[in-house]
Formats: sequence, C-alpha cells, structure tokens
Amino acid sequence: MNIEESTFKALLQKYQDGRCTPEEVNTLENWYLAEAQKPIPGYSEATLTETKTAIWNAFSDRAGFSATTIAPARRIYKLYKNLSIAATLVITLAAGFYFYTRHEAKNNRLVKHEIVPVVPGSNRALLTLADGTKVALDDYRNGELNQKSGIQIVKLADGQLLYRIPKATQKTGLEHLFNTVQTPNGGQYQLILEDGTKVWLNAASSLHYPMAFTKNERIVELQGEAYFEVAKDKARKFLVKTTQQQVTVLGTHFNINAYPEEGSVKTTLLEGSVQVEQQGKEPGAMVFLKPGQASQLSGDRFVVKTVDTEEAVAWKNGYFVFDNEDLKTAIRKVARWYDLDVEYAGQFGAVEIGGSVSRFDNIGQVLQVLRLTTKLNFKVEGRRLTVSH
Amino acid sequence: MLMNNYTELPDLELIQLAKEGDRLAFSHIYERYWGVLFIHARKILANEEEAKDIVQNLFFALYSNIHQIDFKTSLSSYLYRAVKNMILDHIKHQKVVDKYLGSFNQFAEQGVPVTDQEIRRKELEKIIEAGMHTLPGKMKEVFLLSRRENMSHKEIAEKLGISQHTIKSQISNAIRILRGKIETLTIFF
Repeated sequence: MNIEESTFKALLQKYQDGRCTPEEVNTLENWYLAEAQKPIPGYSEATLTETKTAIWNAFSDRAGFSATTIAPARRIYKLYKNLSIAATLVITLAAGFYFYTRHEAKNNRLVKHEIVPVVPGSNRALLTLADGTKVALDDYRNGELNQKSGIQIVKLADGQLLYRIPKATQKTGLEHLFNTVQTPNGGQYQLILEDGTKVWLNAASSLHYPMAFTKNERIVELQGEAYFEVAKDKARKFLVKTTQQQVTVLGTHFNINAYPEEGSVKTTLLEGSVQVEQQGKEPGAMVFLKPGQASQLSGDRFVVKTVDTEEAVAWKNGYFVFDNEDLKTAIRKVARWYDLDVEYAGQFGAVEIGGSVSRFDNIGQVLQVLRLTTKLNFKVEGRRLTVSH
Repeated sequence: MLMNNYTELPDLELIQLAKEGDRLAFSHIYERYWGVLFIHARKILANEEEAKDIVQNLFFALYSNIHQIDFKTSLSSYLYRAVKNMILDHIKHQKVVDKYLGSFNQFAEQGVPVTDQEIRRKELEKIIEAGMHTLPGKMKEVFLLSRRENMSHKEIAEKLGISQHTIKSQISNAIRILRGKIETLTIFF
C-alpha cells in the first residue's frame, strides 16, 4: 500500500472527519504513535524558559493579554543558580483592597462611552548611566546596553535589566560609578543588580545604585515604591535609603513604599529580617521587623502592624488590591499607574474601598468596579479623572 | 486570599475560573501544559518554530473557545486531542509532506499490528506525558501537579467505591460555595 502525497493528505482529512475504515484508523494512529517517539536534541533550562516565554508573548499579543499575567514569580531568568535569597521586602505606600471582578459583557456596555485612550502601565523606564548618558528602556530593544566599564548591562525581555560582571573584570572603581533607573507614571521595571539582588520598581519611582558593590556595604537610594529580593551576603549588609528612613537588611524580601505624596513611608517585610531607622534626626527612631510585619513612619514615630503581605506586593504581581483602603489613597495608586490627574468634585468623607482588579485591565474596567463598590461617579476625559457624587 | 491558590487548584477549577474571565487562572493552565505539548509537537514536526506555532495556536483556540468547550473528562484529554488535530492539520497542509509520507509508507508496508483504539489513545497520552522528563525540575513539578490531582480523585473514588465524577463535582462545589461566600462578604462591605 505505497501511497502518494495527495492520497496521504486525503487520508489525513478522512481521519479527521471520522470517515476512515477501522483498518485505516489503526494504521494512521500507530504511525502517529511512532512519530511521537522520535528523539529530539536535549534542551537547556534557559532555552526552554525562553521558548515558554516566546510562545506566551506571541499568544498574549494575539489575545490582548498583558505580558505579566503569566505566573509572575516564575518569569525570573535563573542566571545565578546558587544564589540564595535571604530576604524579601516591599516598601510601598499604597494599600490594597479586594474586589472580585467579573469580565462580563454587560459591564463593558455600561462603560463604553467612557473608554478613552488611557492605557494601563507597561515596562518603561529611563536608565541614566554613570557618565550621564540616558537610555530609554522599553520592550523593544533587548541585548547588551553598555560595555564601557567592563560590566555588562543586559536588557532582558519582559522588562528586566541585568547587571553582570564577567570574571575577568576588576571590580575596583565600579563602586564609584552610579546608575539611576527611573520609571514614569504608568511605568514599571525590574532590575537584577550585580550581586543578584532583584528590585521591582513601581510607577513614578527611581532607584540610584552603584554598578558594583565592593566595599563592606551595599547601598541603594529609592524614591517612590519598590519590592526587593535581596541576595544573601553575610559579609555585606544591604541598605535602602529613602528621604526619611533607611532600611538595613542582610538578605530578605521586602517592599518599601516611599511616595512623597502619601505622607508616610511604609515598609512591609515578607521574609528575613530588617532594621528600619529614621534618617535625618539624632537620635532617630528605629524598629526591627519580622516577616509579616509592616512599619509606617509618620512624623517621628514608627508604628508596626501585622499585615497581609500579599496585599503589599499585589502591584508587583499585576494587581491593585484594596483592603478597607481610603478612597483617595486608592485613587492615587490608580492615577500613578494610568497616568491621570485627579479632581474631586465635592466633599468625600471616610469612603472605603475593598477588592482587587488586574492592573492591566483597561481603565473603564477598573472604574466600573470602583463605581459599583463606592456608589460614586468616576469620569475620565483625556487625562483627567473626576470623582463626584 | 483568592489569588494565592492557583497552583493548588485542579485543572477543571482553573478552567472554570478562566471561563469567568480570570486571566491569571488561564496563565496557570498554560504553565502546566505548555511544556509537554511543545515537546510532543517538536518530536513530530522536527521543527522548533512550527512546534512553537502549534502551541501558541492551541492556547489561542482554547482561550477563544473556552466558553463553548465541554471538557467532559479532563482538560488533559482535550488538550492532547487538540494538539494531535493541529499537528495533523499542519502535516496535511505542508508543501513538503515527504518526510511523513516516507515513514507512513514504511509503516504500511511492514504491516501494523491491530490494536484497540482505546489502548492507542492511552498510549498516546502516556507518550505525551513522558515528555515531561525533558523538562527541567521546576517545569516538571508544575506539570506533575495536575497529574497528582487526577490521581487523588481516582484513589479517593476507589477507596469510597463511588464514581470519580461525583468526587470531582463535590470538591468543585465546595470550592465554589466558599468562593461565593468570600465574594458576598467583600462586595457588600
């Protein structure tokens, strides 16, 4: 039964239509089973991760998803296999609510007349190198950025910037060269610093850091909001300085929210341990945090509470999470991400919001949920959001 | 918190969430199955780019049609059937079908043992799932999670002497009721 191309193709069609004889089905299916056991070359983990991401990106572009809905924690490129994370910390000012949203057609109909070209944020930031050169980081140009000082700065896909020092390079001198990454309203970016520490920057934030940490300490300066996963290094403490406070860690996961307009600095610890000290006062207030705790510095005092740490890092995972959040604080979070100016028409007492929504939904969706939960009016015209009764 | 539990939800629960518009749930389905589906397509098509296209098209079709699909037994059997269909479509439309024609003719010439269709279906499932051994540790773990769910349902059903379907729907209902309660609490805060 040696058949030709056209007969074979017709046979495949017959099979898919369910019109084959049992004999034909038997042959075809056994053939397919044999084909399915052909060998393939070995794949490295890195290659497979790249493949996984490439397929997902192509899919999400087509389906209109955002790039970050893929299970976020797993997107990190494992370039430092032996790196242990000693602590995770989030410093944020925004609080989070939960509201469960349903992406139903009827919601879309209601907000149709209000959907304007206001788009959610994306991976955007401005990198300023030690010599003052500015590089606009975005999703379209990957690869090595700068080789002058012997350190590799590589822009990876998915909004990540990686610092790598090749073994041959001398580290001396690099600790005096500083870079700054700044995100605009509606931007976010992730950095992997030379020691392996990962930093996620939220919108309207900036991080100032040396290209290599060489001395006895690792120091960075933050404005705005960032989530840190600090690489363990017993010999070198990691310090995050904001205008009002300084956080000292050995290695931990934490979030710092230090937006000037929020009026207080909130530090949330997920893993590890940190020491939070007030800056600019002698003697300054100080507190140690344990995982699950958050400190808030207002005035000259630290208030420590036990919190749901997932709320503090929700932004990094692609969500707005509001939990009994004051209306204006919640609106500020939304405004920074969608890059809006806010106007309040009238008096708003203690209005509280609860719930959660994806940061990558269009603004109409987000406002609809706010509308439903607060019974207030939200209108967007151009770049202006007006809140009224 | 609702968002934490995706990795522990069984496949059909993720599907239910995805049907309700939960994109993160959908991305977890992708995380679980992309690997074995890609490896399977790669073996048959012997081409990296074509295999990537197949997987992308498969998830796009899943996403687009999710409301109309009745998953009956399991998500995995749906996906394995779908990927085979897409691969056959691809072979059918190829300009150069020689490499498959050659192997098919060889097969036909040698004579093929007559086997039961159900056995072949199970065999294909085993072969596709064996692809997980090609995946690195973490990715393999993610895939195994969905297998574990199926196993535990089977084991429970065997022990209690009731149908697997009953077990699945009991668990699904419990989760749905619980979620409903949480929803009610927060929305009417």
